[in-house]
Amino acid sequence: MRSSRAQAGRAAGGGDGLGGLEAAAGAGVPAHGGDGEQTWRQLDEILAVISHDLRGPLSAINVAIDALGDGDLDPAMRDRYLEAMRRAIGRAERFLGDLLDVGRMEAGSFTVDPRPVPVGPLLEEAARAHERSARDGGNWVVLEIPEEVDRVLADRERLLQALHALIANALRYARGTGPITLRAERCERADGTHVRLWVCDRGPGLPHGQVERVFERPWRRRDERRTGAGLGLYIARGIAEAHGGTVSALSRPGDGARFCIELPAA
Amino acid sequence: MAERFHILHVEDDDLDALNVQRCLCASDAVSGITVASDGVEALQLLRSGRLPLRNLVTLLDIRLPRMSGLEFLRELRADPHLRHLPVVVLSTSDQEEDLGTAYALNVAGYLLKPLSVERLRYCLGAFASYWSAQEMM
Repeated sequence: MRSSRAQAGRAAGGGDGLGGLEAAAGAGVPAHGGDGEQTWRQLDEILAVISHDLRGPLSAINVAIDALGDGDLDPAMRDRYLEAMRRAIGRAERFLGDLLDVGRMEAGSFTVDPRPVPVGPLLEEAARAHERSARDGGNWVVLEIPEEVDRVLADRERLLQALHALIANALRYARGTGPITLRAERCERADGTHVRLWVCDRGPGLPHGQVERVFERPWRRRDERRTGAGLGLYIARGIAEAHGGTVSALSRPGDGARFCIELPAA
Repeated sequence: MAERFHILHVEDDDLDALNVQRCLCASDAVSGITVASDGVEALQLLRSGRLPLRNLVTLLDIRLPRMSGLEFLRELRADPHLRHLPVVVLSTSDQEEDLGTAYALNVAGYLLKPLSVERLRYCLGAFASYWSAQEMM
């Protein structure tokens, strides 16, 4: 089993993110001045994001419950409400799960259990999970798995989680632009054979200057297009790095985005 | 009395869209609601001719994928055929930067997404009453 301080975001310097929350909670932070004031500010930013991402769906569900109590509500509308409420609850649950993962990554207690995983079935499962949301948004998922790519050394569930984050990101930002391609590729490096798993879209691409920042700690990014805390890509990076691998993004504005997870082959 | 008005609601959250739709459809002043899930889809709708531009008010979220609400506003104000359209923001963002940018781009109002049923009804009721009294192009 491998553990990692997820190396994710470590290059950006320590002491913030959820780590800041722990420090603030446990260290008797002074009320004024110096690092204490900075820590409280960071804590405030984090709590604002958490509060926003939980209060939004909760208040929407609260309003929806009122609608469902209306005896005159059209049955078709009732079904739409119930479906939308399920999705909102699912989003809130995923957000809480993501938050716990980020906390573990920051605390250095995030672990993976790598074993040989066949790449084909893995990508097929990832594609199936997004079939419906792709169709709803005017996209579809395409698989490109060459025969020479066999198995990757990975914690299957964690790698799937990282792939889900990249695919969901592509579906959100490349809505209605056609295929989302999941492609596997084998590459030889000095330290052995690796497998690259690509998620490619034909959307508008990342704005100038964002390619380097998409995997950063979410609390630090200001992005008008970000609709939630944006934990997914940060977690994908943490998962890849916990495996001794990498995650990267390539994009030119107007020319789609390509995200790649590279891990050792099994 | 002014004519009834149509609403283009730009919102990526389907539950929020349903809640707003239910509140506003109860108003006699509203002739209909069209939902777009982001700025790109909203601009496509406005430019396609599928929406009547006369008596149209856009209700706009800020945090949207693909093209944010503020990016949509910049595009709208730069388009000679669409620049006159009234836009009211309905967002959870209370950041001063968002408010300042939105007002600089000539929004006609900025509503914070209410967290309770009563407040949502009050805000959207006031919105509908105000626009039902306006003369629009």
